[in-house]
Amino acid sequence: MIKSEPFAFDVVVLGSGPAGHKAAIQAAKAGRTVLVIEEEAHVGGACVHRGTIPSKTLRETAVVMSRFRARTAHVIDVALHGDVTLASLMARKDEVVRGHQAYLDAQLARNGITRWHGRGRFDSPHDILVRTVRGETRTARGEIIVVATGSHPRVPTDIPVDHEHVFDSDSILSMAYLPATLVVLGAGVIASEYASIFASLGVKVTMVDAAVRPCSFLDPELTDRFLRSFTEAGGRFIGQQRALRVAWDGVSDVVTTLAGGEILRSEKVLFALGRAPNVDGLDLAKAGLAAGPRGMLVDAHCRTSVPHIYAVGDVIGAPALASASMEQGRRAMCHAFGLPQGQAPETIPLGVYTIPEMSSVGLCETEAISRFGSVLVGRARFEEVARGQIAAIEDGLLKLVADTRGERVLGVQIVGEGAAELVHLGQMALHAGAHVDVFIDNIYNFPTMAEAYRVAALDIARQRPTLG
Amino acid sequence: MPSLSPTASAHAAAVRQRCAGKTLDLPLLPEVAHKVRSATRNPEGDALTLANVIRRDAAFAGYLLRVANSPAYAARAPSTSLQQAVSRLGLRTIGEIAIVIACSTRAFAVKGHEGTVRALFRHALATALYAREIARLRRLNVEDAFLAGLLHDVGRPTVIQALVDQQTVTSLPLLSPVEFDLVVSDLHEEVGAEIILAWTLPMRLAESIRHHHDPERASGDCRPMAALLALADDLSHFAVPLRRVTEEGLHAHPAAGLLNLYPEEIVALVARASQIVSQVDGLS
Repeated sequence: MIKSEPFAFDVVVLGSGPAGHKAAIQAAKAGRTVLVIEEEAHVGGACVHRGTIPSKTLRETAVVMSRFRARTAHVIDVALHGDVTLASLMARKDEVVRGHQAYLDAQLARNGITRWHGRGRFDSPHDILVRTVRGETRTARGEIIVVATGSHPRVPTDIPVDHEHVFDSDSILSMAYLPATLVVLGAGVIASEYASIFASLGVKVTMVDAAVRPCSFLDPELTDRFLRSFTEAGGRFIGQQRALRVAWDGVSDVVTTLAGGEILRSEKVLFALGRAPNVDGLDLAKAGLAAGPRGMLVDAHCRTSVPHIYAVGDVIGAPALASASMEQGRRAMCHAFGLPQGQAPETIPLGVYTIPEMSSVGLCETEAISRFGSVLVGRARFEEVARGQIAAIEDGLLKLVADTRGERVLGVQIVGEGAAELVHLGQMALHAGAHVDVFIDNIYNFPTMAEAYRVAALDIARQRPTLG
Repeated sequence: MPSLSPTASAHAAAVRQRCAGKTLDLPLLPEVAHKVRSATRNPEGDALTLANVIRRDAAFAGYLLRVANSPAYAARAPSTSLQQAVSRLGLRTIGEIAIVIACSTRAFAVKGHEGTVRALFRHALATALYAREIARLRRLNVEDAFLAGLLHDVGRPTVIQALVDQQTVTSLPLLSPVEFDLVVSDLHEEVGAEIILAWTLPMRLAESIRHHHDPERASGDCRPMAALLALADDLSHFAVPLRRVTEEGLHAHPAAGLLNLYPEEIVALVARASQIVSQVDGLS
């Protein structure tokens, strides 16, 4: 075979998920020629095809069901017919995915970005060898290389994930029918989201994890409320436990034996304990790179030890959020081309799409106390807000964390339906370095959930130390 | 596919007309399969109840014990009791086996074509086993894939029977063996889909079976499963040849493109051929 000259680009991006896509757009906007290499037929990555977006369409159905129960004060109970297909509960999934894909495609095309469909790996620090699904190969040369290959569910050695009885977060939505019972191993974001979605759809869910509570990186006041809703929906959380053995009994159940001796029987099991970076097959060594167990190692600008190679998104590990990944992609390219990077990344909010939602931005109470010694915290319970009463989303809480004088906003934590949207108002205040009183002095639409900010701010004002 | 001769077209049209007019004899799901299927859907269904249903059908019970002891189900020690066999195989598997039996025996016996029907059955099993592997790779539904693989050619014996009948009772000229096979191939997808619907199996199975030779024609959400069947079908022919399929052919398979399976994944699937064959031997 005659070796042809490699195709040359200013920037070659491996992967088209949120991180890679954003990096590509940023580089193109800086006037660079850009190639995006994607192994799947469509752009978007796991976010669009396997994780974030498909699960949110199922969640939407679950939310409607649980809110219908709440709004009718449980007078009218809604239950799903036993043989309803999972696909029918995600009726709009295909349109949503197609729509989002078309949007991403158009954005790449509009910015003159070249896209190749294939698997890429390093041939040298500047050369990426791309193999198509048909087995043809060609080489792309990049001045700058961005690795944005994402992550996949960790494959456990001791638990048989067969995608038939024991699923991972990539295969769980391939179930044809809702199971009657489900054991979820793990209590992180993905585990908590699926556990609460399936519980709201009427599945009897048991969640098992080594942690004391689900999403233990969040404020306990949030997770306590989440846990209460989950339990009310028929869910059960078993903390400080781990599964010793998981095996299909060959009849109808998967048997999960816990270290403490308890035996759980369920129709299906979801293994959701961690994700691993997609670095296999990249031939990182040919670029003079190596990956750590949690992913590729980078500096504050997402630059690897090889100066022209950046790594962004899930492939570098935590926080593995679509929003953070996009920001990493953007910042990496700003750094590469000497452009201003803008705001600091600590104001990236965290949204967990459990039922109810949980969201956080800035410092939580514990973090703020450990940094500043003492703080003032204002609370607004959703039942104190008219809109919360009307919409029957009373089981919510907004916490506003301020400095010890009750003036500077340090963080906001919210649990309750709509939390992931509501948090952005707090994010803007944080970004602007606003005074707590900004939430008291401004007039909001009435009735809205935004009023919770005023209630919480008034709560802080009430606690302010009086002078003299 | 070569175009049909006028005689073959006339036969095909006649079968198609009977299919559309619901006068084509579709095989019935055997009673035991029916009972097993309803027992497996009953949440209270247990191994004992099911064993009692099966016990009433000696041929089925014998077959089930043989399957339970076959390498495909990796028995630790031979099952001797029916209840033990039921426990080992699992309700769902029993449901599948009930359909396997429907495909292999009574419902599909075509006089003079026993050899063909038996070969088709082995082909169906290998396709089901391959379909399950591909489903795992692409995170598609594993149970659906197995069942669809098992039933993808379910229309063939029915078309064979219909043509045999047609040649004896109608005035249409006889078909040459080559034409006979062409008509069977031409019609088996649509007749198969009709059988699936008559058996009240899910619509999505019917849709993927209807287009398993041309997956791009399947409706959007059934397209991946139809493509999976197309590839499993040819992998199965590679492992248990009824028709010649080469490894190069598998690499260039259009369904591999539709499923986004890279050469290394095809290589891994091809490498499983001997394992699939031994599973088929144990089941057939």
